[in-house]
Amino acid sequence: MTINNEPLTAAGARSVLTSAATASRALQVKTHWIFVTWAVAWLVGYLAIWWSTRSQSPYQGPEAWSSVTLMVSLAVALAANIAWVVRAMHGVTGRSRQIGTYYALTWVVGMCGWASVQATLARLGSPPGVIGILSCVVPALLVATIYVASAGIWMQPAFLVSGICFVLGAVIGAGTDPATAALVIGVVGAAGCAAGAVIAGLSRRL
Amino acid sequence: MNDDTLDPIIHTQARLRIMVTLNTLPEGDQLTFTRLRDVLGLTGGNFLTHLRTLQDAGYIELHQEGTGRGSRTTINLTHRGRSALTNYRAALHTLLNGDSAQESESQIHAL
Repeated sequence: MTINNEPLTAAGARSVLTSAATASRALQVKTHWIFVTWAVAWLVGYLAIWWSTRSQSPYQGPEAWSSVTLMVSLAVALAANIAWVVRAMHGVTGRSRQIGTYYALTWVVGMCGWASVQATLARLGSPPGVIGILSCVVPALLVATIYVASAGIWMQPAFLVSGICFVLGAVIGAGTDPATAALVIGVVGAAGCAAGAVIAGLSRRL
Repeated sequence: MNDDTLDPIIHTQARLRIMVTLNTLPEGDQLTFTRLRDVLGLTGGNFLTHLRTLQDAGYIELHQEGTGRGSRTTINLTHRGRSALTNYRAALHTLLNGDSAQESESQIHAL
């Protein structure tokens, strides 16, 4: 069979399908890798906080090295995420780009808002224990809220599962002491992200 | 099956790849000319010829944004184009099904 002088054979059709699948992957954000980076960041960052505060009595707050570890972990994960998203979305315009811009703004507003509240609490002389608990629980709730919303925006169950894990982590962490809360948030948050990575990876293969 | 059921506009490797790639974008999104060309690895003149063919058939839309050096062309699949690709996919599935059914089916779904 020939149409436009280009024969369609089974091998030719397979070639088209393969190249099309490759092209499709180039335009998709690697959500599973994004979840993996956040799993590592939450685990390393909050385990550092837990390690530096686990034997404090009374609780005085994390040591500088552990706060730096948390910040660096989150910054590395954020940088990797930005690189992957920018690479995949290069050349894409329209609705997805607008949604992505608002999504990024949501994170910036949420995290800057929390940093502002945290600074105010410290300035007003709030007990270190209260700030310690809130430093674990509030970011987890913020992530949970945005992830659940993300599940609705992109129809990806990976975000919903991960978001639910963060809610559980926040609830469990809120009922403990500041050091244990950091451990709970680190482990449960990382587990939630790992679950998200597995689900996103499976969805990508289907 | 009858070969006539395969849409001759889509039924070239280059144009099918263009259609499938654009179809991966959600409705409301466009892809720049240069990114689409780079993703598919096609040369400029040849690529443009295929785009014009698809545009004339009403399967894709080309938009010129800006003027001068900062201008760019964006491309998106139309409703008609998505529908034509769906029909083509079904016809191709039937065609390949007679060859090696299971393998072909999984590859068709990748479209």
